[in-house]
Formats: sequence, C-alpha cells, structure tokens
Amino acid sequence: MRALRLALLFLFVFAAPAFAQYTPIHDFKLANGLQVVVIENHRMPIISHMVWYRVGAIDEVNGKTGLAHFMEHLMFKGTKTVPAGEFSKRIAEVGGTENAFTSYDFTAYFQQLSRENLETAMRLEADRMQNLSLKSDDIEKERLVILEERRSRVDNDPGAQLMEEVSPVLYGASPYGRPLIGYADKIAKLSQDDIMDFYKAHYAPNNAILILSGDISLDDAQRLAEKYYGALPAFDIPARKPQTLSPAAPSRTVTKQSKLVSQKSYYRMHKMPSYGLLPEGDLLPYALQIWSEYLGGGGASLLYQEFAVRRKIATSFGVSYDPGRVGETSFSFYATLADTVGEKEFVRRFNASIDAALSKPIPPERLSKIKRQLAQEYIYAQDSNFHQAYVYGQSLAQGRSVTDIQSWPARIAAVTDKDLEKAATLIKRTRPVAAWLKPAPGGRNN
Amino acid sequence: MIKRTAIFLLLILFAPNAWALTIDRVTSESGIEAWLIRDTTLPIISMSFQFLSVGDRADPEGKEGATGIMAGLLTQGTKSHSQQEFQQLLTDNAISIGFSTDNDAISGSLRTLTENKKLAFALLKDALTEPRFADGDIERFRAQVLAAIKREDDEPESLANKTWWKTAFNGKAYGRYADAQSVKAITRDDIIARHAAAFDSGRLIIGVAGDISAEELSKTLDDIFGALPHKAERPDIAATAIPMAPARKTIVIDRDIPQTYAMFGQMGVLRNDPDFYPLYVLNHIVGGGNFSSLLVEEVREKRGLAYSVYSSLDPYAETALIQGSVATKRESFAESKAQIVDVWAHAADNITAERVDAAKKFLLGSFPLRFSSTAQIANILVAIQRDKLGIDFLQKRNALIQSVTKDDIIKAAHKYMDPDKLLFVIVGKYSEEPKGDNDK
Repeated sequence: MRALRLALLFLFVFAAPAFAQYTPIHDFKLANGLQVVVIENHRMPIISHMVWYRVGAIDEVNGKTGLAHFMEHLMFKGTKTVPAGEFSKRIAEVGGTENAFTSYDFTAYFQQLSRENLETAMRLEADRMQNLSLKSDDIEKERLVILEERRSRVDNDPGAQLMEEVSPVLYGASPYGRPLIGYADKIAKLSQDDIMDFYKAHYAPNNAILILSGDISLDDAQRLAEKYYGALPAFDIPARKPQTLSPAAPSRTVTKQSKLVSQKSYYRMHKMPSYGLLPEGDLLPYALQIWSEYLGGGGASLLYQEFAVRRKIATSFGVSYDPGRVGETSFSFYATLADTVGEKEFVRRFNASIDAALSKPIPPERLSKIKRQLAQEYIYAQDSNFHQAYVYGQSLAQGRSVTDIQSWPARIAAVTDKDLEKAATLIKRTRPVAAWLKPAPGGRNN
Repeated sequence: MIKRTAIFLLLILFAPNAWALTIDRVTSESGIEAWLIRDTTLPIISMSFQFLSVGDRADPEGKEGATGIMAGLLTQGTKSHSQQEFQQLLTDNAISIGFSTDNDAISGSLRTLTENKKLAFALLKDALTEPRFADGDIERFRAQVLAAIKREDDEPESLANKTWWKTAFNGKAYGRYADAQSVKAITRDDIIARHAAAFDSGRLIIGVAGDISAEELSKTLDDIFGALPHKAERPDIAATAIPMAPARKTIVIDRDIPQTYAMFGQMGVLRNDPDFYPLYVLNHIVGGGNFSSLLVEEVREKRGLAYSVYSSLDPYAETALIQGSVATKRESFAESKAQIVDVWAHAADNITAERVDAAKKFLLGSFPLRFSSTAQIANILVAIQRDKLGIDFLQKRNALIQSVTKDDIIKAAHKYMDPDKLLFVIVGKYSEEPKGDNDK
C-alpha cells in the first residue's frame, strides 16, 4: 500500500511541468584546469562575468583570520601592468559594474557589462589571477579600510558580535567558528608576505571557476575563455583540509546584553552536515531544506502561525539552513520576542512547539505542495543573469557539479517520509547551542 | 476591445551595436493603461504599479504610519481568504505579491510563473479590493511595526536617516515619521479610510514585463483593476520643490559606539528640472561612482578613513535632495567630515574633461544592465511613467546625458553644491577638531 502511494506521488510530481531549464547551460574545462560554465540568456545584450576561487576563510592557517578577505580587497590594488585602482576605472569606462566578496568556502570576483565589452573584463581578470603586484603603501591603506568595514559589520552591531561569540561554541575548533572578516588584532598583523604566500598558494586556474552568464554562445565562450585564460599555467594547490562534523557542541546558552538593543531575540542552533559532508545524492540535506520551509518558510508556515499569529509570543520568526557548505553548517531557529512574554515562558513554549512539530510527519498534501513550490522557485532563479551565475559559481566552488545543481528539484521531489523522519530525528538528537540578544539594564539614554 | 494606442520600436545605438526593446502602451476596455515589454525567455510575468500621491505624506496628523500599515495588511487576509490561507496560496504557487509605501506613493508588485497567472491576478485583485483588515491581523502587524520602529532607533544608519529627514523638514511634509504614539493611535476605521482614499485608478501607473501578450494584458488589467473607482485625477508633476528648512548645520546624537556614522545632504533638483542631467553627471563624479568618485578617492582610497562613503541625487515627487553617508572610527570621524566638506566646497574645481568623459562612459554604457530581470524592467516602466519622461525615453536618454558639457557641470557645481547648506546628522561619538572652521 505504501509503495503504491509512493509511486502515485512520484507520478504526480513528474506530471507537473517543473524542472525545466529555460536558459541553456554548458560546461567545459580548459587544459590548465579552469572550469568554465556558460549560461545562455539572450534577453538583453549583457553578460555577467564571474571568477570564483575555491579559497576562503576555511583555508586560513596559523590564526591568520581575515587573510582571505584582505586578499580579496588587494586584488584591486595593481598588477605588473595595471596600476592600483585602474582595474575599476577601466571596467567603469566600459559601462561595467563590479564587485567581489569573500566567504568561508570561496572568494568571487565579478563584473556585469554589455556583451560587446566582455573582453575588457576577461583580460583584466585573467591578468590579476597571476600577476598581482602590491605596494606596501596600498596595503596599509586598505588595512585601514578593512578595519572600518569590520567596525561597520561587527563592532557597531551587537547581533553580529553575538554571532562572533556563538560560532566558536557551536563549531568548536572548526574554521567555521572563526570570524570571516577576521579579528581586529589579527588583521592588523597580516604582512605582505602572508598575502603573497596566500595568493601564490591558491590563485590558480585549476583552483577557479569561470562563469559567463548572459548574451553569449558556447562557441564564443570557448574561444574567449581559451584566448584570455588558456595561457595561465596551472600549479599544485595545497589540498583543502578535509572537513568533518566536529564533536557535539556543549549545551550552552550564550547571552549578549547591549545598550544598543531594545528587544529580545532568541536563537536555537543545531550543528548539521551539509552537502559537502555527505555522499553525493544523499537526501538528508534535501529533507532538511523541506523541514526549513515547512516549519518557518514564511507567513503561512507552521511555526510562524503558532508563535506569531496564534500564541503571539514572537513578532518575527524564521528557520535557516544552508546546505551548500564544504564543511559543517547549522539548522537554526530564531525569533524576536513579543513584549508581553517572559523569557522562561518563551523558551519553554518555543522548544516544546519545535520538538512537537519535528515529532510528527509532514502531512502528505502539505509535503507535495512544498515540493511543487520549491520546483517552481527554481525557475525564478533563471530570470536574472547575475543570480544564475551566482548560484552556479557558488555551488561549483563548494564542490558541487553542474549535474548536482540541476538535480536539485528532482532530489527535493524524491524525499520520502522516511528521509524526513531521519532528518527530524537528527535535529532532535543534536544538542543545540542557544543564544540571547537582550537589552542591557538601564538601556540606551537616547 | 483592445485599445493599443501606440507601439514604439526603440533602437538604441551604442557605439557600433544596437539593441531593441519594444514598449507596448496597452489600454484596457475601461481605460486602464499599462506599459508592457513582452519577453518570453522565461515563463515569468512581473508587474509593478504605483498609486500616486497617496503615500505616507497623506497620513492624517497624529496617525503617521496608517498608510504603511494599511498597505502591509493587504496581503494578510481578504474577504475570501484568511491570513494563513492567502499566504499559503502565495507560497504554494510561488507567487509574490507585495505592497509598500514611501512618502509619495503606494507601490505594489506581483511576480508569477505563467502557469499560475490566473490565480496570481485573482489574488492581487482580492488584496486590492477586498482586504479583510481583521482585528487580530491588525494587532499582530501593529506589534511588528512597533518592533521595527524600536530597531530603527537602535541602528545608527536608520536613526541618522530618520533624524535627518525630520530636521530637514521640521517634522512636516517629508519629515513626518511614524512613532510608537502615532502607531498605537491608529484604528481599524483609520485603516479602512486610508484604503478608500488610495485605490483609485485615476492615479494608477503600471509596468509589466515578461511572458504575456498585449491582448491578454488588456483583459487582465480590467480583471484586476477594473472594479476600482476612477474619480481621481493624475497628480501634476511638481513645478517647485518643497525646500529644506534653514538647517542647523550639524546634529550629533551621542552614542557610545566605536564607529561614528553620519548622513549628510542638501537640496537637489526635481526630475524635470533643466539642471537635472548636469547635476546627475556631477553627482556621479562627486560621490556616485563605485570606486572612482571624489568622495571615495579622498576618504577611502587616499586616507583609509571609511569602507563606505557616497552621495546620491534623489528627486522625489515634491522635493529633491543630494544625500550621502559615511562611517568612520570615532577618533578619525572629524577628519572624514572635513574631507567631505572640502570635496563639496571644491567640486567645481575638480571637474576635469577626463572625469566628465569617464562619468559619461559609465552612465551610458551601464544603462542596459538595468534591464536584467523581468521585475527590474517592470520597475523601470513605472519610473518612466511616474516622472512623465515619455514613451520614447529609452531612445532619448543616452543623448540627454551625452549632451551635457563640462561647462554645464561646472556651472551646476557652482550653483548647487554649497557646503554651508549641508545638514550633517551624526550618530556616535563626535568632537570637532580644535582648529576646524568647517563645522560652524
């Protein structure tokens, strides 16, 4: 009986006109190991050009936190033939927008421009992949800029400070427990040698992915990739330290009180495996994504309805789970408390409701609707050149394949009640770290 | 009957290449107009619309926030669907419908896959014409708004922004803000009154992009908006801007944080002012460029004083500003401020042919980038209608920028950029440098 129901469910899901790819995707590799992905979208004569390096904060060693991010800033500060600041000038001159960002698992550089100006960006990006040439004056100035960035993102933001305190508790000695932007005292000490060593160790074509997304054909992409990136030599990249699920987090509540906060927020965070820590095609992270959607994916979700609408103990509530990481990640619940509820009462009700929800199966009709919804959202991701480039770049930099990415809707559809039960049990059995962000007694005086 | 009054094929010539966008002016049988750019790359339809002159400034005295709350509640339950049902229908069918307000207008947006369009259009009609405004939903939403107001006052950026506008406009016109008192005073009757006053198709402008034909859109417009009254007049474009109050130059909100944040600004020009384009290019040179503006050069690149510093030219319906912000560690903030004032004072002197050329190249060359997603395209179509720029605007726009001369820009700098007119609102620790005479 159960097998028949499963088969019917499968039929229903495949009957829906879902998993379609409207923007053709191609991928190939150059001889020097550069992975290239081409996403065709001919709506407008524009293109997103992105280079993703498989290097990020997790590759920092010897306590040199912030090195990967500093590196990203310094990539704009000159090569043997292009002086500091010229990169951005030349992109702007051809009507391009640009930026870069660093994460734990990757560092990415991108420009968006009219199709006719693509080669300007490719030439410049290929140049700085291996020809960086830095002046100590520029390094010192950029160090000051990064310290200001840290002040904006962390020192002025109690919520970010709380997360900086929680991460090492949740992730222990794992590199995910360290701040991405780095600690201020460590940033202050990073030397030109540190930076150039890091650059030479990680910035190579065989450690990178090129994404061309927009008004381009496969033929042109192959020709241009070869023209600008083909001559860059590959070299040995230190193997990335294998990631594992670190030991169970202690049962702790981290509390931060701040005069700069006037409401209470509560977090419950469970360390979880990601795609990177599981065999390819394992359905656990897909089941977790479905739980995330079911429990807290918006105004109609089960727990938003319970906490914000019926019981009125929270003014906001959400769930987050990012499965894409190379290493461990978390399945987190968070809420801002309503003024009228006491802390103990809130935590008691919060935990009881979450545990109760995880202990019951997701109703079949709700499950099939969630699967259909997620499959439909897959189409929206294709609407913008940049968004699709981002999705492919990030996934590949984190170790997925193009097939993996395109299998996402089918794997979501394939998740069974048993998979969901296994995922729920894992959450319940994983001791969470809890955190409070609270107003300090006395409060702000302005 | 479909009234298609005009179809324009626009060929915009950039250097050697050309790209074409077809804007259809679609009019429904009952006279509702929308501008459409049809694109079938993906089975997605995006719609963007505004009801003009019924934004936050239309809130009654003492009830600031009423329009914002009314707009937020439109998707929180209708006559046919409870809050949960309505939200569930949206989520399950991957439909986004949202409303927001600013000082000038109520904005709405819809995004749907083609396969769900019938339901999406029906839900939008439902939300607009038959919102439930249930007491429970009102109270829950009110609590969220009160929480958001508290958060605004916690965060230096939003606190500086709010204080800047309140000061610049003496708490009136563009300087009115919702606070705990006004939000708590709003009743269900107030919300119903805001709803009745706002949604008249006489003040409605619509932009649509994606997988829908003009024929079908024409019928859809009546399905969604046809039942709305059509008594209001489309508001005129303002002839003059509401001026900023003579400003106290620097307001400091003392706060014990490591980094000091400031918002600064002065009057700009309305969108249809003859000086708009010179000032637009000028602002790009001063502080609008990504990494190559005067502000970024002096504050970030040369001195490492900030991660973020910028200025932007912001015309609204009835006022216009040039505004910017900067964040610098408290010990050095006075230096950042001095540099910004210096850039402002000497802007005219720094307008070189090279900078003008680079700015124009960027502003011309980056234009197509704005047309990436269907939602972006729909928004642009609304903006063109809102400012009455003309259905041929996409064709004219680059020539308008190209025709700005270096002399025009220098003249605009002399005429408009006056550091004595800058209002600074500073949040954090701030002490004037002992020998600075810029801050008086």
